[in-house]
Amino acid sequence: MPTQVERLVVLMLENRSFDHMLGFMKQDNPTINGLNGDEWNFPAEEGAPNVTVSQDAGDVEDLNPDPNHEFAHVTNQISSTGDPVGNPDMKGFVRDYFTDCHDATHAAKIMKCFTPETLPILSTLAKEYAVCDRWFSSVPGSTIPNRMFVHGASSAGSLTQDVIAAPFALHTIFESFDATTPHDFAIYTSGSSILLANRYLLQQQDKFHDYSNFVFDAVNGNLPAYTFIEPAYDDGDGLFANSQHPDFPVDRGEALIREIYYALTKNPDWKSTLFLILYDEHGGIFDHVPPPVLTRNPIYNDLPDVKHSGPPDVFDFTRLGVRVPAVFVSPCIPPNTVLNTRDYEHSSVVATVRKLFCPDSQPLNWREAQAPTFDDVLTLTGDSIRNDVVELPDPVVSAGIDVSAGAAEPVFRAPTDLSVLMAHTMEFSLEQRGLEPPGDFRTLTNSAEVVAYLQKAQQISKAAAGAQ
Amino acid sequence: MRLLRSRSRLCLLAAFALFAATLSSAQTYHDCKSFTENLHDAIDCTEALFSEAPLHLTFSSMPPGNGFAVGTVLEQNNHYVSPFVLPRPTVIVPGKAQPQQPDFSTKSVPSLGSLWSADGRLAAVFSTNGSWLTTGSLTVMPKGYVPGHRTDHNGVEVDCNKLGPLCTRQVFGMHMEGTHRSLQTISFYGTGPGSPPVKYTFHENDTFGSFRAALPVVDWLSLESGFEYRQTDLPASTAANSVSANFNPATVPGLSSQPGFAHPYVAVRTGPTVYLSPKTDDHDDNHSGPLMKPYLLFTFRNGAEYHWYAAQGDSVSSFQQVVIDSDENIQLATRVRHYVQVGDTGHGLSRLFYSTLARACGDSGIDWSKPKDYVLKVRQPCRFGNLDLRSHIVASRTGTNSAVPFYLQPTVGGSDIDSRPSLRAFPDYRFRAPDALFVQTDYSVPIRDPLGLLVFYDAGTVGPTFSSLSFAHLRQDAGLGVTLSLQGHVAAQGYLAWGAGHGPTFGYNFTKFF
Repeated sequence: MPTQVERLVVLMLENRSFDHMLGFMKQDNPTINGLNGDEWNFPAEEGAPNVTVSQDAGDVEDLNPDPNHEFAHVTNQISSTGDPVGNPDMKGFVRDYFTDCHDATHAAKIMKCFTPETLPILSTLAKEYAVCDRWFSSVPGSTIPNRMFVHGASSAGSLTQDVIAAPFALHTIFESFDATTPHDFAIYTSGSSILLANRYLLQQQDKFHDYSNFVFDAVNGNLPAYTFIEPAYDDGDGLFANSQHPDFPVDRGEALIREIYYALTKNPDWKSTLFLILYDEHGGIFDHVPPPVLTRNPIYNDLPDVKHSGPPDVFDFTRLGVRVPAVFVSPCIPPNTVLNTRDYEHSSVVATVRKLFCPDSQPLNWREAQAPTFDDVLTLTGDSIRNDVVELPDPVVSAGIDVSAGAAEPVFRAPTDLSVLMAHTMEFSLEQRGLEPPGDFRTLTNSAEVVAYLQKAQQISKAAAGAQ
Repeated sequence: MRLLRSRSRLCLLAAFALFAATLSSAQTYHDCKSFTENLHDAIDCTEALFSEAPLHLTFSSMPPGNGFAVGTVLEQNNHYVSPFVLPRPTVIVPGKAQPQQPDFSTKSVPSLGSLWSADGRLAAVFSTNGSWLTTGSLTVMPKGYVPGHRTDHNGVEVDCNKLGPLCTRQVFGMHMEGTHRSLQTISFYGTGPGSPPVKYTFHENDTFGSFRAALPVVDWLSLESGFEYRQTDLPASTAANSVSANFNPATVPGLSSQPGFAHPYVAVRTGPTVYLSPKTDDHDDNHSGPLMKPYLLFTFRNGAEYHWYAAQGDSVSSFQQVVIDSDENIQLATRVRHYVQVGDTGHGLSRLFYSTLARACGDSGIDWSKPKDYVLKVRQPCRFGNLDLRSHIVASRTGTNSAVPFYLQPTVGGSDIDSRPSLRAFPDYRFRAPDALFVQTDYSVPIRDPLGLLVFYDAGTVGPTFSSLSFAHLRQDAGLGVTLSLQGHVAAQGYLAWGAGHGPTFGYNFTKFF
């Protein structure tokens, strides 16, 4: 009988594949389905030698421009023949990145991977606790659909990043934390989250907390049963992006992971806490494991289907996306644990949260019902529960761009597509609620303006929620 | 808090609404395009007119007793990294007990050559009684600080701005200001604690320019020094109730002539913020034990200043002053430690208690017909109001045969010339003398955002010497009222106060803008 998970804390970072981040852990632990070092992809240009994985992924600069990872591109990445079903060969990543960067040498960088030495914090936690080498993104597509799946086991029919209405319409697991359950949830953000645009959560503003208070709340035992943490997605308002989205520095995300880990180890409930570090999707970066195909189990035929996507990319959401890193951290997990017997995907978070904290409520759809849960990963019990706190090293800054240096002469970057999309989504959702957005998102010219826009939008939501 | 006070009931609603606008930031002139289409846009547009940078209207900042003032402000936004910006108090919002931290980075502060320009303002305000005020100010901060980190007392790494051994959120800054104001009506009731309640008035023109510098040593301690030159002019009046027609310079020093004053000062200011929330191991299935644990936020703002007022060409008016200010604030909040279901809440007063508690904890829409539904959940944040303890002490020193000019003497009663409230049941400037002290206690609790309930107690007195400040002359009052909060701040208050010996006194205050 495993230890009961009483606290679940999920941190979802951005756009990195399993092999890219943790594949070379296989050299220390062969049971991990990682990299041997000879995995390869077809070259960008005919006649050139194949491109093999390498161990020299950098903190920044390798992945600029941002690799494509929309549905059609993912199809080309996982199948050099264009057929993603069956057993795709996972050999089209370089060619696909070439269509974006138009530089054969640069396109080969999509095969670059970190090692435990260059990614010390995530790797150390994966080694000291548990790594799952079969966690797949829910959608072979981009950020927003995958982030919706981690909350609602659906993307409300959205397959692409150009999704505006779906975050508003999505039904999420948070709606199940009603008055019938003693459990509660909290969402820590740095000002940006698609959840802020959700129809239900727009009226639950008391559930959103600024990340700057997370450590205090964790240390003092104030975390509810389920905590979801959003990283900072963009620079602005004194914040630096720590989502690890290419091409933001990976080390800032490593520092975030370390801060959360240490805070949780000081939590009075640490011995029944599970900290899950997850990535939303692979970001167009190489991984060698073909994503599985899902078959709806007939016993779930009475549950709602997930809304299918319409043209041009008609999709019924029966195929998962590329594998992403998933690290389980808990004192009830022994070192060197490898979870590889189930095919987890982001709907597993929804299913597990429901099983743990809202057991009397019904699954949202068949994807949730069918998703394996991880409520049983705390295998250490009683006196065998660990008392140690793993000492984590400093993050490695490999590529020489220190974004904090030179801040005396601030130059704000152009905003990322993701943050502009969030602003657009917020504008839409506020209008749906009959609220006036803080302006026209199309006039936003830099990352700081987008961050400020999102903060104002949240103020408006809070004011409206408070007035009801 | 610096507050203005008036008794104009007709202005009350307008004042509250308009002041609310000055603190709001979510509205823009964009809202004015649809001003006539619906009430919501009309309100937003009105708020934008009073808040949108860089140019907007204002209606405050005139010392009390000078009518209803409206003006325009051209400003560059404040930056919290400036040592002259009072950091927005960390606020526990009802039902959202996570304090929002202000931004102390230098990243978005505009450059002005080798300086950062933190805050600039030009303003002109005109009042219904003919008073007017114009002011300009600029805060600059020499560059040299770089972003850094340090470990706080919780063992948590926090951001700071580094300069040598200093690692602080706010940075060294310099503030320059020039102001001229013409005040048609300042009340005067004589000097001393026993002055009769007979109101006289005088007209005061002030011109002053100042330079201040502040150095944060640590986040809760800063050193400040500055120099001001001020020239006051009190035009003579033959009006029946004028000071000049009813008093003579022997009893009211400074009445016949007003020298210029060179005024340097030094100050030490503290402002630590301390959380108190015991570390507890709570579980969702708790149904016994203590219902709540404290989640308190203490903010201690204290300052000690020493001022030298050197009268130019008139040594009998020179004096020195010690000013000690304190403002201790406690935000009263809790976290739930065991759950409560509808079936636990009983009926009558017990049900009322829990429904009130549920509202304090941010919950709404509980179905009281379902006994198994949860009214309170473990670790849910709850807020119970705000306790504020303030005091203000002024002690003056003069040489032999010297006296503090009456127009520079501290006042107690209503609000003073700096819009600081003291004895709220008494008229503005009611008691005046070289030395003064008052203490205040305010308790405010949110009723329904943004409105709250206010209960207060004031006590204060004045005297010719510090040793003469005694309980025998202590004036007291108490009252209750309504507050209007915006973004967690009490922005305005209306109240009834008792204590002046003539029944309840109605008044209102709103935050001074500059």
